[in-house]
Amino acid sequence: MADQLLEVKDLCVHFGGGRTLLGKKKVPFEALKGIDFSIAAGEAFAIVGESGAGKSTAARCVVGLQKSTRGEITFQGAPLGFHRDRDQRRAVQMVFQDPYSSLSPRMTVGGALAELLRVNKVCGTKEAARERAGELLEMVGMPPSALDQRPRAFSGGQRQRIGIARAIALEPALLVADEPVSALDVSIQASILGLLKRLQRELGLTMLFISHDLAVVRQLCDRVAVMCDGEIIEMGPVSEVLAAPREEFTKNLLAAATDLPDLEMEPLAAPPPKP
Amino acid sequence: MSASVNGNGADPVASRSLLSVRDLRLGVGGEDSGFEPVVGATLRADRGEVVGVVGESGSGKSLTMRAIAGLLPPGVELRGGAIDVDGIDVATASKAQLRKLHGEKVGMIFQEPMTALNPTMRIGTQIAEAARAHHDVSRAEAKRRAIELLGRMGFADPENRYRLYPHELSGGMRQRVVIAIALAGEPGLLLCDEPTTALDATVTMRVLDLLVGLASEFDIGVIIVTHDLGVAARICDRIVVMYAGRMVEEGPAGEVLRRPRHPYTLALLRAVPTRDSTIQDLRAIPGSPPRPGDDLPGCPFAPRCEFAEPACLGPVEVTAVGDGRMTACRRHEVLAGMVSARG
Amino acid sequence: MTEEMISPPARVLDSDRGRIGRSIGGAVRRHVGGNVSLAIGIGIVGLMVLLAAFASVIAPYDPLKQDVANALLAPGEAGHLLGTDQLGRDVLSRLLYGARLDIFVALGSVIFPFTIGIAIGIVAGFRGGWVDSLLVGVIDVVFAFPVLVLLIALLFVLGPGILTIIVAITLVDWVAYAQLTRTSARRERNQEYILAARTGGIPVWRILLRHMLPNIIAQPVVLAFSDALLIILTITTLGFLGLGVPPPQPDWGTMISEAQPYLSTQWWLGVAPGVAIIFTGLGLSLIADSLAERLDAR
Repeated sequence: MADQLLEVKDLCVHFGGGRTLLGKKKVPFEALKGIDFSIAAGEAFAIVGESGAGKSTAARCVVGLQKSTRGEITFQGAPLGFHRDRDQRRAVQMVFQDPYSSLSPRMTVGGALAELLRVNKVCGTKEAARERAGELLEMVGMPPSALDQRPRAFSGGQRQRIGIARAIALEPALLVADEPVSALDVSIQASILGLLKRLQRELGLTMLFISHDLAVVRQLCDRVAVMCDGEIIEMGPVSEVLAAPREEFTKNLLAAATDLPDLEMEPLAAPPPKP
Repeated sequence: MSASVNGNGADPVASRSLLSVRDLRLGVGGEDSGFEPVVGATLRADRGEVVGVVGESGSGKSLTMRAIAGLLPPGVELRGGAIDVDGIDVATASKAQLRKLHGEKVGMIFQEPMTALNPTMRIGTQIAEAARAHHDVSRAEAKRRAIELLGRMGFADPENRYRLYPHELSGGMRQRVVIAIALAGEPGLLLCDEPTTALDATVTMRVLDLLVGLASEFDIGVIIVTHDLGVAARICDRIVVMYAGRMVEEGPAGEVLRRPRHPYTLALLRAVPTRDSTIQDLRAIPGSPPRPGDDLPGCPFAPRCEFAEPACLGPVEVTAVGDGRMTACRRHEVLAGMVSARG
Repeated sequence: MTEEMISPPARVLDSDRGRIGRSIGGAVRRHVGGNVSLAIGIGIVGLMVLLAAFASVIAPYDPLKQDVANALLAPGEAGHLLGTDQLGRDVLSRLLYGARLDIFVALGSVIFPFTIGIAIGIVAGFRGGWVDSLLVGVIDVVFAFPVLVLLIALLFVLGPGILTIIVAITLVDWVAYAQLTRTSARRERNQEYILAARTGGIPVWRILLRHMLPNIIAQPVVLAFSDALLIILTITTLGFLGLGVPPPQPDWGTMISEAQPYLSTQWWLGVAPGVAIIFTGLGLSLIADSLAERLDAR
């Protein structure tokens, strides 16, 4: 499959193995027990599962935050290890889960973005970096005045927009989003999902989307892998897997999704003008 | 067990009403410099009923719960309104009455089960201790009750599980232990603050079903604070929607979720992805929720509301709109007119 | 959780330090409020630093000049505002020069452990692995010794002198900062903003210096102020034991020690440096406590 942007083969991650001081072997915790998946260019791929299933560990391996015990990751035809050169690093970026802890608290938004741009030689000068930072903020729907403010000044939704601006700053080919809306208020989630969808289209991004929320996956993704206890138990197009799950676990997951009763309200033709 | 809970203050003639909160106002900081995170919470609960309090962060839902339990954090003060829990006026209650309130009248469950448990004590001992704290029972009797409660919480082989420590349990099982501790004092009212937010979806369902079962079996009132409309839809008899420290809508769960009478509820329902919606159907609510201390004349939702008119900046009145429903929107008739014919 | 289990004795000692250094300040703060007590603290310490810096200008006499004819004068006599000691040296001048010496030594004894401890602690906490295990081992070993005994032993090995005191205190004291910083760094390294910086390819030194350090420096700064007070007390203790600054250099501890035989007759000889120590200590304690209070409030 030559058109695959990312291929993951037999990826294993064990935590806490090795030996004790007395030479006794410790039993490692197997967070990933050899998973395989691949993502085509331009595709939105989801990994769903419950906490502890290993989905975040998989995401961290892909972005290079977690060493794998075994297995290989191939990106654009070349192996992608834990230690990466600048171009490899730039090509895979991440949107984090918690907008309240994912922005450097003591740095201004513009300062952090400009640092990222300059360290990675996207922009040569301070001025160019600042200008580019302003453009990035505009792309995610934030005013340029945000440049000189610290994260504290923003709401959760705004912070997540800034987090997305940071993730796309290095013009990645693959964007990994680890539960990007689960820490946000319900009324904000839709706008962040819409933003991700728009950016994916406009920038031609490939997305790896980690979530426990099937409704969100249904909205945003093309294919889905269901993980349980460090293994992928079911994989396929979202429309098939979520409509006709084969595995018992997937069925339970679907049954547990809390669905709302249908709204019995006519949609508004056009919102009336604001006073 | 169930008989003894029923026996706890269950006078056959007494009303079914368990809790009534009226126009609750909570303040932080000085009378003139501070702000009010809760400015008009109204809430009631009957025996055997599951009430959902729904709202986003900053809606004041958790503070309202703490006020009911008489556990306001330092710095937050009661500025107005009345809280009546099974005959105890929480605002004026004496220390002795408050002691009676905690555990005997009100049990409380928080979001994170691990922090509510003592990591160095066996779970059974913790439940038994809670039982002994509120009722004059022997050690053996308390232990018997703890085992009974563990069994009721869905623990297989409760005699042996009694001896486990919290770290030996999964998140869902820990939350069940927390619920057992809260029930050990045989309270009439169980307050649950985001009881399943830290849990996985499949576990969430089981814990929620357990809570519903407890409400009818023990004939207690259960109030669930949640930001998750799906959770509320699944288990609640009635729903109270809060926004910016105010009650904006209240009514039977099915009614509120299908035919909302407040634009905020409607907007919230439209912003949540459902089985059949696509991302284009989702409508984010414009703007962001007010921040603590924002000056909000009139209806707090007006700045983000598609139905708002200038009069919405005037005083807000809560109106009864039939079927036991209340709304704080003066344009509720517009919403009533939007109900589709098939409904 | 894990941090707490790794080195319990270190933690106990550490919190004790903070408490001792803050307790007086805390009592004052509860009466006058945080801002006022911080201002008073800065005022006191600033005044002492100024007096020490300009000792050569302010001091009316040469602190080393002996005048046995005018020994043991009472305060105010013959132009000696605080009197003279057993060798006829002006007490006020010795007090001022003593301040210079003690504050200089205290400053050195805080800055070096502060910098070294934070640098080692942040790297170990961020890196983890064997570097971290090694540091935890060293911390436990150093904390296992009584500080003063260790100091005295080091002074015997290195020989007395100002530099020796600074070196000895640094050797003992950096672990307190390293331990504090390590714990914070271990907590912060899993925060998403650090992970984000790593994914962004920001060099490690930059992550530590620009992203992590500003968020964990507050606690070590508080410790530094409460520690400065303890160090001044330690120096004076050493001086009193005859292990401090070698004579004839004036320092508060030596002055108290030398005043001992005259306490019943010329009490001011001992009281003057004693008051100076209490005064400076109060200032440091006020700063440490109100800073800690501010950080807690956040």
